Amino acid sequence: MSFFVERGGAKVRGLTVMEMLVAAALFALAIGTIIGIFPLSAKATRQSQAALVAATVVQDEMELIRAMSYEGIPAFREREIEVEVVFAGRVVVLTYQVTSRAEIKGDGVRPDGLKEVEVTVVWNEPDGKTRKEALKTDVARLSP
Amino acid sequence: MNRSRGCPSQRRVSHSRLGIALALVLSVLALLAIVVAAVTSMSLGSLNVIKVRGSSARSLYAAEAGVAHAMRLLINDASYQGTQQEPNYSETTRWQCQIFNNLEGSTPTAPNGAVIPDGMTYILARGARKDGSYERRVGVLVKPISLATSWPFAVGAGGEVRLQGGQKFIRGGIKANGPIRFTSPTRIEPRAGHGRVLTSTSLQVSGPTRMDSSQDARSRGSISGNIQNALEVVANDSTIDTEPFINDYRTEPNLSPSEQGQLVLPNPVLAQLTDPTVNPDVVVHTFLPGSLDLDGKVHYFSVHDFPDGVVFGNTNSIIGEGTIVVVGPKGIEFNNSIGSASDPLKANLIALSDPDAPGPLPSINFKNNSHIEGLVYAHGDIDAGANMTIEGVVIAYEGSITFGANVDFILDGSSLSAPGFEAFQGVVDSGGGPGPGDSGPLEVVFWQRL
Repeated sequence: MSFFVERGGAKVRGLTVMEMLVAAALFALAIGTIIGIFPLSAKATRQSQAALVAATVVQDEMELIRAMSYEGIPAFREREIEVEVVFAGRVVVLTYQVTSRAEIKGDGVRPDGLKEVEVTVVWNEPDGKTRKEALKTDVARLSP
Repeated sequence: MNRSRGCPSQRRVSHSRLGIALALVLSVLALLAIVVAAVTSMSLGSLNVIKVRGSSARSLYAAEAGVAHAMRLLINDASYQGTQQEPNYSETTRWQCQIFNNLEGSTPTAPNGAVIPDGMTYILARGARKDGSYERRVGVLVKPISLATSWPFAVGAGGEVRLQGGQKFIRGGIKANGPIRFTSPTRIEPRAGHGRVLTSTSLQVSGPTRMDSSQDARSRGSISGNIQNALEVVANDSTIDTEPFINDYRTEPNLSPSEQGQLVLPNPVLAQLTDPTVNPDVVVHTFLPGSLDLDGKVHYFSVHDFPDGVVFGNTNSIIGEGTIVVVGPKGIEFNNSIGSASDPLKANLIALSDPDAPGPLPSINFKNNSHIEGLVYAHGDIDAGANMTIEGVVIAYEGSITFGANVDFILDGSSLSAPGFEAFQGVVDSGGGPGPGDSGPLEVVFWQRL
């Protein structure tokens, strides 16, 4: 095989068709793979953003309950929180269902005057999956 | 020269260009792969941050559950010390806490260096995942306090509470065994964390009534009318909170097992208020002086010398700080103003029935605007048709409380440290503080998330 093509008596240097075909095929394969990874990465970013907001919401609700007097902590409380998040330049509204439950511990083993508080946040991913984040603690009555 | 073969230098140059396209493509792909790896790594990294944050928060609240557990142990026994743990607190977390008690000055420092002042206790709690990872610690310094300062009700009655006419401002809780009625604009705010409205009978609201969003109103029976902004308004409540006050004239708050969780309405030891041999600060009056100088003493007016009760008229004045006690069915009447915003009367006003002469329960009646700092306490009714400001505690032991004009009640539980009410202060010895095995409420001095 010669790498020289004679045109009008002058030698012209270039790449062969085979070389180009192989290079193009490799490039297309790689680009296809990369293009497939970017959406996964974007989805992971979206999920982590929603989860980060959920972590903040559940912790805020827990702190709100902990700030209440022992007697004032409700046995059950449910509310919906909407949070606007900017993702890829667009404002997206995420909706979180926040539920808190408080139950007086009365198993006879632990000391009395304790309320077990559990706060749960539930939200839906864009792909329809439901995710949940929960925190649990105990609150003590400070009088006998 | 043979052109078909080219000269040696041209052949070297042409052979060195073999496969250059592949090399270029691989270089570009390598660069792209690095970019993709970086982006993917950032996404995975943020997911990892979420996971760490969640585990850390769960550990922190597990540690605080340990603190709550320790506090209850200390409330039941102020001298408790040792280690507690709950290895299966939740599906993923556990806690352990150590209690360092310096009630008697024997443990002035905790192992982590925290200084424990005399009379206080330090709780060091650890929460973590069950495998020990993501540990969080919480350090809390607490001290036992007298029951008097934890009394949660600005107004407490064995009978009814009627707040009618004028504007009502209650800073603290209200509880009555009988109905509670708000028929005029009423605002209830928490004070020192207390601001509940509780009744063992019914709650009737016909005037604009507003509570704080952190407080609740509960009735064993019905609730009529609207309370704005309350956290919860619960009728037909069956919790211990709406169980009636225990007002069976016991002079100590000790509860039987079946009474656990109920509140005993304070009732004084009579001798502390009437017998100078028991309490040297008692001054026995046989007539009502024109100007009564309280001088820090307990001024006793007995039913024998005052069968018609004690009436403070326009010619009477009260100065200084102290306690006024009237025993007998007619109680105390104030026809004049006592105290003012700039010079409140710092006195405990107490009307008690005579145990040797059963009869109508004595009442306290205010007919003119008054401003009092202290305990207003009657075995019978407490009535006021004038503007009242009371910074302390108002208790009608078996009677009802009726206020018909502007009212400002500000809870100050320390007013229950009045003479005669020692048993309700948690004091058991001359040291002034709780002893081993004594139970009592706790005050949090500081709470540190470490």
